Amino acid sequence: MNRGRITRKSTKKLHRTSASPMREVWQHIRASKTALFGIGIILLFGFCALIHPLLMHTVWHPRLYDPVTGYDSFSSWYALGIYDAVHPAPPSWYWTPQFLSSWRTGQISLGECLAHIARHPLGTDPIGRDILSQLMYSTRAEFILGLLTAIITVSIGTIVGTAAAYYAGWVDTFFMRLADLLMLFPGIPFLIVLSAMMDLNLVNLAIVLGILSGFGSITIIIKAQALAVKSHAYVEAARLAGGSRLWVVRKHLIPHVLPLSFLYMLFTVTAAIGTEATLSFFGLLNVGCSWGLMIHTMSASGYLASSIRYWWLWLPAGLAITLFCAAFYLIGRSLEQVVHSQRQEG
Amino acid sequence: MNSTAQLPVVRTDNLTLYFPLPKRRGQREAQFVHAVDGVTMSVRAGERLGLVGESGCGKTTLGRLLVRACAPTSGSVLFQGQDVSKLRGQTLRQFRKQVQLIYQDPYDALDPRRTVQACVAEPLEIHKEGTKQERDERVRHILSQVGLVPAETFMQRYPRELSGGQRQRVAIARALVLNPTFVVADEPTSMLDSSVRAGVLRLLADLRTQYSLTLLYITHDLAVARLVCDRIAVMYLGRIVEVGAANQILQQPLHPYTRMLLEAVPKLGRQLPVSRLRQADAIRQAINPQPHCRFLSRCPIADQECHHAQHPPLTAYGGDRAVACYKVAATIDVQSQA
Repeated sequence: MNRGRITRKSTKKLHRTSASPMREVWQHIRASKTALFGIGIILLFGFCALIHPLLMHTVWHPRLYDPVTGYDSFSSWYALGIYDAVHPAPPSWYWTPQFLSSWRTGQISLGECLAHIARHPLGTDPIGRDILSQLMYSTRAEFILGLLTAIITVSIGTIVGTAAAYYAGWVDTFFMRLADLLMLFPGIPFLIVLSAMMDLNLVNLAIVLGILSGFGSITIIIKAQALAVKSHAYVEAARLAGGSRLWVVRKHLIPHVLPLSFLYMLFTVTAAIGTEATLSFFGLLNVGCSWGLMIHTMSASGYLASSIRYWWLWLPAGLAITLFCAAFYLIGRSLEQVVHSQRQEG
Repeated sequence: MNSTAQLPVVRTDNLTLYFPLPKRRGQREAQFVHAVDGVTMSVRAGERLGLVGESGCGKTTLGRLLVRACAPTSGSVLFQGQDVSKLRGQTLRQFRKQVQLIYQDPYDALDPRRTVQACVAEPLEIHKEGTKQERDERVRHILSQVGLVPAETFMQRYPRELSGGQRQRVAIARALVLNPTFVVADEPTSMLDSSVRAGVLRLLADLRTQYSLTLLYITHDLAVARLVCDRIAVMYLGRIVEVGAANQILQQPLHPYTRMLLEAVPKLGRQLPVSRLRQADAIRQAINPQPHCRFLSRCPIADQECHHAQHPPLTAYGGDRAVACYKVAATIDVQSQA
């Protein structure tokens, strides 16, 4: 018994080079520069998302740096008793009880739009909120939205696609017509209408986007792949060994389409972030802070005409959207080569 | 052979399968490929029956019908007295457990994403046989039985890391792991190198005696059939034209088609036979065939009578022998004179 276990272990080691699919994918990624670049960017954003709460708790005072409610102005700095070159000591009238009480009840205007200074590396937005803090804070929301949408999309697409391929008949007809319908469906206008009818927060949006794209084109792509897998003898062999339809779909079709599903998961992240940016640019989403919303704040505050001069209001957010989408896209493109070579192989 | 060994494990009754062809424009009637056309035969317990015929004659389709990989147009398959097409649920699972198919192409029959161990253990998992340890033990046992030793070195490998012969051995192990009573082997050696072929054939012969299998061996190669089989059934365009003990058929073929097949086997020191088979005929005729004898267009001994009569029925000629030809009497005469 014991001896048997040892031999099994040692043989496993012996055949470590024998290619398990995941190992092969990893080797390909390591060899591909674009994929590494993408992973690097995603890690960078992940790092931002992780250290933001830490910074908020330690270095950054929430009164000044909170991405939604913090703002930089004379009053906030004076309240904290901090004076510097930008905010010198306040005039004497500042300390009169009438002024202070009015400040406390929030009757005083918010902060100002500052360019790059030491305590705001990327400046502040039109109401004095720190751009870097907003940028980092939004990353978490984008991750949640992108991944949640992708997981919902791909789960639906994989299950429905393989089922349509294997069961054929009316199941196939129904889901394929539904996919045609959804592909012709104008997504953004629909979401605009939906945002008027219900409160669209990130999770709601992810679910709606996931369903819209899950039953859409991805179903057709997965189905095509599953049909190719279905024609192999080992699928029939599983059936002839007594396996139920569900067994065949679960054990043979789904494992074979999973690489493709994963690929489309990456592309879905890109699409979801793009949609979110569009919707929050129109100010239709109920999110505290997001990259799209940052650009919205700029245009809504009248800085659109002088956007070159106030570049920090839109460039960091725009660049973040582009880079974040590009990272997932690049990994996807690199994986595509692996998936397609495996497809040809069998 | 005792009487129990003579009982048929599988019997077919007028088994027929037509494949419809897509209807072309301006075509009045639908066309059908008569892949299997009224086959009545039986496979006896413990025997090795060879099913021989050229490409496109329907032998693979017949084998697939026997394991219920497809449903017949009409007729029936009886497995141990039960109509296979009527099996449902638990009885169907029991049938699947007892009947297995070994595929022609070992490169296609194993899931490339599963290790050898997972491939072989799959039927056990499906039928929930034993615990994980017991299943592993059985997989290891059967792998060494099919000559993949030491089994441990093969279990964690993927099919693509094996040679054709090794893959076919894995496929055979997979088919035998549930201890089936009836196995259909669909040309298991045709995709293999001739150097590996003999080994796989020997393995099948060994395993058959060990597991008391009933084997239907489908092949186009009479030499292989002679090596493996007790009885041989010769098939031509969806019909069985001759059945009999392997020795008898090879030494004294009665049907003109069997004779042609035997002539086509190349032998050393002999010139190629003149009456070589023409492939194109075989494929053309299986679509909506004429009612007369299927072999008529290529038959060297046909006469007017054959043109007017229906396809000849399979009639017994002494003991195990049955032939579907009106001219058999003449053939026997000729052979006895010679």
